[in-house]
Amino acid sequence: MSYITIRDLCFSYFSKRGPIEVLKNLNMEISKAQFVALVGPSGCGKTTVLKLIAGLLQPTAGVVLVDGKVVDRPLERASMVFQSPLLLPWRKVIANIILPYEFQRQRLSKIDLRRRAEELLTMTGLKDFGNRYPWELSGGMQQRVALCRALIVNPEILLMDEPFGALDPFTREELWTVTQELYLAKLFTAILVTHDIREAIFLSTEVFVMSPRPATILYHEAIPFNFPRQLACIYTDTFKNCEQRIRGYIGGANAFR
Amino acid sequence: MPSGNQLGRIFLALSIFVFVAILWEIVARELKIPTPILPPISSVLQYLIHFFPTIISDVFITLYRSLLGLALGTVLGLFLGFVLGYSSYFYKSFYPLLIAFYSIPKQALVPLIVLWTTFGTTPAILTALITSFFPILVNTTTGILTLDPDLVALAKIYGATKWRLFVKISIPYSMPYFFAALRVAGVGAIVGATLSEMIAAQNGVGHKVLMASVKFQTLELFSYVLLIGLASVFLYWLLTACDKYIVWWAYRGQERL
Repeated sequence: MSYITIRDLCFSYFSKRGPIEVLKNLNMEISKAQFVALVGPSGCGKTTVLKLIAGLLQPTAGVVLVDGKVVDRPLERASMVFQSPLLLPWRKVIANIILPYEFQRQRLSKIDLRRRAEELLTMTGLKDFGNRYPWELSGGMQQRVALCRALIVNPEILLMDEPFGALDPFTREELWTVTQELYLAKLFTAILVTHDIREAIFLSTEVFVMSPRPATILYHEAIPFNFPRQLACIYTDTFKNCEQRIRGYIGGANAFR
Repeated sequence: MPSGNQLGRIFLALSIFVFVAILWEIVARELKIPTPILPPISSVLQYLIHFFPTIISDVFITLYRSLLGLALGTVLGLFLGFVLGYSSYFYKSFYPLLIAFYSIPKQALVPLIVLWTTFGTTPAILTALITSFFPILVNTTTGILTLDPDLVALAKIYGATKWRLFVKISIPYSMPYFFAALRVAGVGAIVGATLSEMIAAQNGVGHKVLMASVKFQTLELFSYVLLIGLASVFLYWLLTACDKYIVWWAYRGQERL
């Protein structure tokens, strides 16, 4: 039974040079607690898909269903992580993490929230950093804080828009592990947009490949590795074959077709 | 930053002042420039000390008018800045009008203000208000409008209303812009008040400077210029200190410079 259903999704917008068709008849089905990765050539509309799922944009045609209901406003059960950590520099780390609750009607006790924030910080290896300011932290640590902020609301869906794109390769791999641990602990449904095929395969249960604009799903493949995965699995033949297959669908000058 | 370094910087700045003063003294004496054109600085200081009570009372009058104008201009500029930043509808409708208004030379407005109000203090306060309010308005609005769209998306997904987003994120985010403008506005207010006094007042630095120049009382003229200049520098320094103290988080990492 699919949890998130995307049916014949079309999205276009008007620019100075006329209408631009970003998505055309895009279909996806995502089951609950799956970790889905979305890859594709740059500028193909991956972020648009995320925003449509989040209810931040409305489709031109087609529909996004979550749990059988049409998404027509910002999705309450979702959280989002962006490429930039987007932390507020005038707030300490802990105050940044509980920010989402200050926007919600539902009021929780400050003590309770702090306890949950501390718990998330511990899970992401930032136990003693709650009282620091975000700019005192490295880029990787800031992105961990952004993950904590996304998870404080106990989201059913976590949308990630190239969250590790701005990090160096070693920090990125570290954060893959952190993200996987969080996923296994909380079992949310995750959708990860990325340019990094290895990242997509390592983290996800299924990889979707998008075509260039107007984009649709070209190919998708279930990833056979069991959780928890070790970084070493990147060097196995199964992984490499998978990577090569997916790379072949993305096109560009270096495609392996 | 080590305080020794800071002391060094202050010393450097002060020694430049002393150097210019010495140069002034030498040029005025050695080239035998007539006193009505350029008196040596030592004579100016002598005059200044001798007539200090009279001179300082007019400087205080001008400062009172400037600061009152600045305070009113700040309140008005901040308020209108928030309004224009909050609603793009207001921004589009009122911005052109405000620019047109600001483009009018202030000298041209003073007689009109005199016509509508009175002579002396009121036009000086209003002119200070006009000169100081505009940079504050423009910067505050710019601060709000340059908010990262992803930050807006983030707030929306957590169910933030427009108002909550504005109060929790937009306003604090615009504060460094506001304080940067306040420094400029402080100096601008003194310019505005002095200008108005030249046209329509019987006291204050503007009036006294104009009278002194008509009577070739260059010593008196320089005394006023020196004192109001000193006051202006002090105000700028004070507002800069406020800036760094209140929105300290915007200056993160400056210690390393």
